[in-house]
Amino acid sequence: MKLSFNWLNEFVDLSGVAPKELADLLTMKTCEVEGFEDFMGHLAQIPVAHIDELTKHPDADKLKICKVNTGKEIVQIVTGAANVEQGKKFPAALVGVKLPDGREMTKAKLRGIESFGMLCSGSELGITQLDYAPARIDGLMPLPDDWKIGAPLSDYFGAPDVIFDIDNKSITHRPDLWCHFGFAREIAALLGKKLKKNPEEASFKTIASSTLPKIEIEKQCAITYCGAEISGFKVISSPIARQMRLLSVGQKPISNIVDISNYILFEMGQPNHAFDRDKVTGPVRVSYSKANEKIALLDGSEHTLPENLILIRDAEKAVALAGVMGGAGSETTENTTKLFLESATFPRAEIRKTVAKTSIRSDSSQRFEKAQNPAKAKAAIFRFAELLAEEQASVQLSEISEVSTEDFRKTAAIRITNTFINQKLGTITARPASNAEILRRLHFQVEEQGDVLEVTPPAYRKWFDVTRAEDLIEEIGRYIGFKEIVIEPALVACETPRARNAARALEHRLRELCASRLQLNEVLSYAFHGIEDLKADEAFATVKEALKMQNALHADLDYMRISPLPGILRAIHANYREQKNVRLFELEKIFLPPTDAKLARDEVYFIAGAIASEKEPEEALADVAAMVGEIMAACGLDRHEQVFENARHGIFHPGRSGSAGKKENKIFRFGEVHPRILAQYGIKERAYYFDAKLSALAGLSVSEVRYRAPFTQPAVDFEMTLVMPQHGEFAALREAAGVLQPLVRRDLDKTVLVNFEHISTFSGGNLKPDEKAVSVRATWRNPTRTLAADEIKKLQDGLIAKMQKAGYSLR
Amino acid sequence: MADLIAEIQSLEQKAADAIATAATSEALQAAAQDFIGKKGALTGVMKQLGSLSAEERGAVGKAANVFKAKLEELIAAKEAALTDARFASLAETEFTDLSVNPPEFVSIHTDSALSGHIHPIMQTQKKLEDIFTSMGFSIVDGPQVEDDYHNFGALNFTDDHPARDMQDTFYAVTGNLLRTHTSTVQIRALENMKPPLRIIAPGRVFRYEEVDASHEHTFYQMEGMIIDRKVSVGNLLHLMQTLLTEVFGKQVDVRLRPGYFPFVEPGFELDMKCLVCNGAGCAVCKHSGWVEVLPCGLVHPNVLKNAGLDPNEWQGAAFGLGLNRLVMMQHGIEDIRHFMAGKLDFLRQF
Repeated sequence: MKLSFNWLNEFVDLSGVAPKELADLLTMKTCEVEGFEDFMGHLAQIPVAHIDELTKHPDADKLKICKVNTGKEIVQIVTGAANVEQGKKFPAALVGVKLPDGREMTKAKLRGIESFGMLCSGSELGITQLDYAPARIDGLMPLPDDWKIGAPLSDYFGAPDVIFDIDNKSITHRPDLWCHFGFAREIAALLGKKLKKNPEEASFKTIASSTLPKIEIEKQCAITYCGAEISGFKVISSPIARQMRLLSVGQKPISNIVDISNYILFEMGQPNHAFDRDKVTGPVRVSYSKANEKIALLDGSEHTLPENLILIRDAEKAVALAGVMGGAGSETTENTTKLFLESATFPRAEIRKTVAKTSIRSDSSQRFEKAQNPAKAKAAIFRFAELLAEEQASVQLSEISEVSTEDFRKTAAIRITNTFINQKLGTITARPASNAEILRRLHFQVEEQGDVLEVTPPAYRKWFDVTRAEDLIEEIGRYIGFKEIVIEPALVACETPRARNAARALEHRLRELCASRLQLNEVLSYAFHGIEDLKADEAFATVKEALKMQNALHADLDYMRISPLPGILRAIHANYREQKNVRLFELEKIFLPPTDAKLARDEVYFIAGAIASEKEPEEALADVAAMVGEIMAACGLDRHEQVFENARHGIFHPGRSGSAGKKENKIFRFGEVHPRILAQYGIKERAYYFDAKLSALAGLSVSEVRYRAPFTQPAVDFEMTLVMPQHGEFAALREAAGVLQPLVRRDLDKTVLVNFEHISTFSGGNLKPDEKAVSVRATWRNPTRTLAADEIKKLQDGLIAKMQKAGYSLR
Repeated sequence: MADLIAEIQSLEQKAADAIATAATSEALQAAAQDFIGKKGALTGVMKQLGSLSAEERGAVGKAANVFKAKLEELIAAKEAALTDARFASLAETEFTDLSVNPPEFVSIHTDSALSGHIHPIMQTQKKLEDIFTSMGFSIVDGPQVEDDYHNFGALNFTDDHPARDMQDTFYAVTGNLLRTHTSTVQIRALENMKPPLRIIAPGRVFRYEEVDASHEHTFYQMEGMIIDRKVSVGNLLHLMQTLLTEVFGKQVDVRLRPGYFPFVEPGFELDMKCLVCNGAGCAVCKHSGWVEVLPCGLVHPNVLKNAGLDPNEWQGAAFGLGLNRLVMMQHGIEDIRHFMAGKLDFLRQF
């Protein structure tokens, strides 16, 4: 919201208060000031100038040389304007003056003739928005003959102003601050100054009217509704000063009636609407819309309404969307001679509903949504007549019809104690006055009895603003200034240790592992996916089960993701052109169907990683598998307990798709991403991927260490190379070797195969094309003794026999 | 003319046969060239057009276009079939045994100097978690897909509350919403934990707004809350000053300004003295000497009541820290979009 310094100054004396000081005061005590800037400052520097002499430029047909009387001196200015005329007056921007478009006047030579400034058009002065014809001329702006030579334009257009930009969000809770008078009242209280005048106390002589419409309110459609007739005026342009005022807060001037209506909204925050009396028939009713009821609004739009929005109707039709916008057809025109002026207060919930259902917003709805004080509705009508009468003395105001549906004049008192106030604020170093006195300065009524204060807020603060004790603490705190509060630590109870978050600890541990050991880079991907993303991987949930958004930012981001894969692939795509070796991981959430009735989704943390590399696929796959192994080991699943297997997953290349985890419970899927999916994401090289749910990894952690004394006897290793079909699996060899047994008992004289692992795979050489040679290492151990050579031989032969029986020959 | 059209039609069967028998993508391309390539059979036919009238040329041209369209359709179908076949045979043609136990990572990556990087937001989150953990706070988590009650209602945003417009919200078709702030966790924590308590809740939040250099629809916040018998504005100030001093590694001055958020009363905007100019005024602080850091306040009695606590017995202070903004401040990052863009030349700097 924009605030005019000059306008504020009409209500509270701001002489000696610099704009910066005012901005700082409001920032620290009231609301957020986003900035302030000069408005029409240049008009004070541009004088009314008289063209004493006009001669043609010797070298240019279109240019003219003017001797210009600026009141102080005679200046030479060269102009190309066609409408310059000797003996007339025009605005002259002299050397040094800066125009609104940023141009700064300097001494110039035009085709060899010196020029010391510029005669200006309305557009160059930045005032074409005014309802003032000379400002809109395509050429210099002619000034009236009776304007004084040398007088600054600001003498006629209004003094330069400073406009403050208030952050609307920061006054959401202060309906009283949505106007200049409200801010002036606030500033006066903070500065300890008296108000110069109060528009809420405006009055005007009324006369009886036989034509004043009757007002009816359905249920609680309005809190109060005031209506009156105004006559004895002509619809013309507003005086320039009023137009400038409106322009300064961003409102374009239209005509005197519309301008005064807007002026009152910005001055006292009371939305109002002037109907052409001749276009309103019969009683005025405030009532709910019917389903599919149609209304045309004065901005030219047409709407079909749902039921139960508040409308203003006359005997025949809806004439306004209450509190939001007037209807088309009943607005004032240049022929209007009599007004029906509405000034009402509507419940904020109703106006919010209208805005939500119709998406129509206006300065009126913006104020009603916050709740306005109904007590000022009637005053706005007096103020309207008063302002119009300043322009045209013949103005007549009828008596005012007023209907209210509740007694809004009563205000409940709030009980609070000094002890509570002081405890909540903390220790205060210096206070300007007692709590009670501070509240009084802010226009609260206070009855003090010992520690207890009975506080009644002023009528304009009771609307959803100051309603409870905590609200008063804020008032006192901001008045004192929060910088006066001593910074002191809270007292902490130390008897119980805080709850630990093991899941979060695991997340950070995995990040550390991925980054510093596995050389992966963490990315964060959007939680939003499109339907094609969902279809790419339905392993955790199906497309049907995914959560669809009502309001997506883009059509292809309208679901919550059910897989980490698309996000990672997008990140690869973002990088692979520039980098040959992309290594990424992500640790966030996917959104699966709910398992707990209290929650909307089963939000599952995952860890996913991928590499895109020019390495041979076997090498890259070993890299991915090694990472999976590292992660599982870090989570508590020892290497020799890890099981890797070939397993088909839809996202992977069918010949390079695997799972890893415990024997009975797989945790990771890993492999080469299917070329079909890579193509979908525009990735032209091979990419390798792994993922797991974090909960599965968390389940691996070993809570207790089960200690066993170290072995004193060495283990026995045996390495051999076996020939098997090209598509054969290592898992089959392991199977053939027999069951691996953990050494639980260490007192039994029993030799056990404790490990069987892959060393390398080789194909080519003298092998057949459909064969490969796999080197493996078997490890036996007897916990009680060292094995003798013949025993070892027997174990080795036994293993070779098992292999041969299974069809694998020694190489 | 009729001859030429017949000739084109006779090409059809030949072409279809050639396409059908192509066994590889390359063979298919070659077949296509034979018929509709620059030197293909169709071009040969079209070369004879010169002797015909304009009308006749039109008729032949039409036949040629029909032929071409049919062929392109066949080629596309065959291409798709070949791709499918290639995919289907991948298990045979490109098998790698993944059932082997993998080598140790370090044994295949000997260039151990190469290091990956943790996302800068997560680094800062971790740092904050460590600071608060050391001050006796618990770390809690909450859902990102929320309900209206936890995001708004319980936090004292009544249905008609104009402040609901302050936060543009993503809604799901189920009526659920994506949390617009981590303050939801205030309620979730109070539902599960007994006071006195001190918690922080870092995590992802969402706002329905288009992305530009200073706006993101997805970003990270950290909520913090203390609930105890007596909590004052002075205590809140202390917490905030300690936090920022730890984060920035030097003494930081803070100030409170009035700010409005329905779930705190009184509510504040917390500023810190600009670290670049030490309060003298510079471009970073827009010449005010102060930088806006976070909103905070004393927990509103309605929030306590909604969470089942007696506001006469319990008091609280809460704050919400925007992690993206904090990281941007720490490192002078100019564009919020970098965080979610996944670009390595950004990520590797942290």
